[in-house]
Amino acid sequence: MSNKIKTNIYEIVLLIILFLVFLTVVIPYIWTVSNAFRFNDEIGVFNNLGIYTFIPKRFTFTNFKRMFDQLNMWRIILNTLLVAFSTTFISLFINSITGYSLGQLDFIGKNFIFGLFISMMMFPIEVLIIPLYLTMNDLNLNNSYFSLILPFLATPFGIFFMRQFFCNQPKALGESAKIDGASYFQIFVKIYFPLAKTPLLTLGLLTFMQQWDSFIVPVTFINDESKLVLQVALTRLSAGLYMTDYGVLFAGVTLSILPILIIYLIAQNNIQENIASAGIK
Amino acid sequence: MLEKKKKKNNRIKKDEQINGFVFVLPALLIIGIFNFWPAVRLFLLSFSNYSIMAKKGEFIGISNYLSMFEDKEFINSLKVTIKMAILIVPIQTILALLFAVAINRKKRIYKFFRVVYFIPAITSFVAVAILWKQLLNPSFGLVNSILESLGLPRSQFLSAIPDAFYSTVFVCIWKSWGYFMVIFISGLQDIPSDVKDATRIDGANSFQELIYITIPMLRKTTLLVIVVTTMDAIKLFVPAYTMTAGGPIGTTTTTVYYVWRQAFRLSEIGPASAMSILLFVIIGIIVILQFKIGGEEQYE
Repeated sequence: MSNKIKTNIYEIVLLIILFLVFLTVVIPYIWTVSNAFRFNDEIGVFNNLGIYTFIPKRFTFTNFKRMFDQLNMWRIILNTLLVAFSTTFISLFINSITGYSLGQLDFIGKNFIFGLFISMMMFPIEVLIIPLYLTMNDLNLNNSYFSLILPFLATPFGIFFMRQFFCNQPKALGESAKIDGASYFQIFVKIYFPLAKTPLLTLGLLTFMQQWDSFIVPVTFINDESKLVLQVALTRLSAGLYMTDYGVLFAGVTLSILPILIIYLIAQNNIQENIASAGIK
Repeated sequence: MLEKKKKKNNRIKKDEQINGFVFVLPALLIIGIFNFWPAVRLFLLSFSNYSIMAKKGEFIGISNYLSMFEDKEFINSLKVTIKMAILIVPIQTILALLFAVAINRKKRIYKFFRVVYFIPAITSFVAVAILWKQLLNPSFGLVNSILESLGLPRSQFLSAIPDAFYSTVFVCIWKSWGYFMVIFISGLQDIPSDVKDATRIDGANSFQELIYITIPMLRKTTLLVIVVTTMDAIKLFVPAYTMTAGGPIGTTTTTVYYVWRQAFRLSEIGPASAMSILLFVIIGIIVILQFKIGGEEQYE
């Protein structure tokens, strides 16, 4: 009996702690989102904690409207999605066909090429940004979407991750198809690629999130207002040339948080499992 | 007959050779042009006085490397980065581990907390940084409101020393600890339940179970988390760029941010390249550690 009471007390204390941490995670979001729906003259008025600190007294969309007037927001959203989706889909294909080749086929120089790919993990983008910028200059790709997409169409991690998967698939599948006269490309597209649904989903998710979050690359490579991506646009709102328009800033942050949050809450089980299964990004 | 079969086998072998190579060719081109060549070029640049305007530079030996160690601001940025890593890595790892152990239960409510704690991990770092920049705003930020209502003194936070530094550390942890908690939870679920049952039967309490069973069995996960967190801390750029611009007086200038500013604001390509090489050496050591810990088949 006393043991049970002890367990109950332990659980109540635990729940209280977990709830306090819950608040430190959630309250910043609530405060930010609520500020996005306030008139500017209401921001900073309810400094004494109260109900209106967390919900607007007069609800308005005017900040969002001003944001879309000041920045070419639709264009920015479109740019961000275009870059993130095209990188994700093309890189999934390139990384997996490379992983298939390295994991299933035999050819001269295979180990050397794999070693080369892996050793590139020592050069994260933060280290390579300077020469990559110069290379983009040489190729006349600065200030273009290509500069955001091309470098990430094949990644050492993606290749490693897919090779790992294909290494563990039976070779017999391909060999019997080969005897029936299928080409290696057909074997990959029709047999092995469909097998890889789970790792592709995981890698796709990681790639998409990385591209969506990507900052040092677009902030360095893109100058043109019409080619801005969302994350860079946010920092422009935050440190504008003029006085910061806080309503617009909060609206911008809200716009960048909410869609991803909604997708996450709908698919949270899958997303967490996928990320855990990739172990560590 | 045998001869014919051998010939056919040879043809298949050759076919495999060609196809195998053709399939890696796109990746080889991409990584060659956008990883390998820039990596080589970084070494070359670090020995030159390259100018973006003139698009050329001359070989000047190791002077970029020598001046790097005399650059007080660079040394300061290294110190800032190391100090941040020293705080972020243990605090974040311990938080993630403890909460993973506490939350790894079947009841719905724990599942709910797990979902919520992960939210900052799926929010972009820029959004997180701006969000906290406003929460810490000296005039209308929520944190000051809370401090005041608790009868505590207000703070200038991001424009005060050392508040800006600790605020940056806090924001980094706030953003990422939930992610690593999920990694730990998946590690915990890999511990076979009969091991735990046996410990319980032997009369161990939950604290003993944590120290003698859970933590040792999570050794590999923990090491990987430490390595990855260290790497993330060394690569910090967004908080400095977005929240503090590296200030006040350099107390939040991380190395990556400093190097980036040298290269792209001051066009000091050569010196910045030498500094990047130093970063590469540090990161290279960490990557090798990561592989050693992960072992080939389990890595990442």
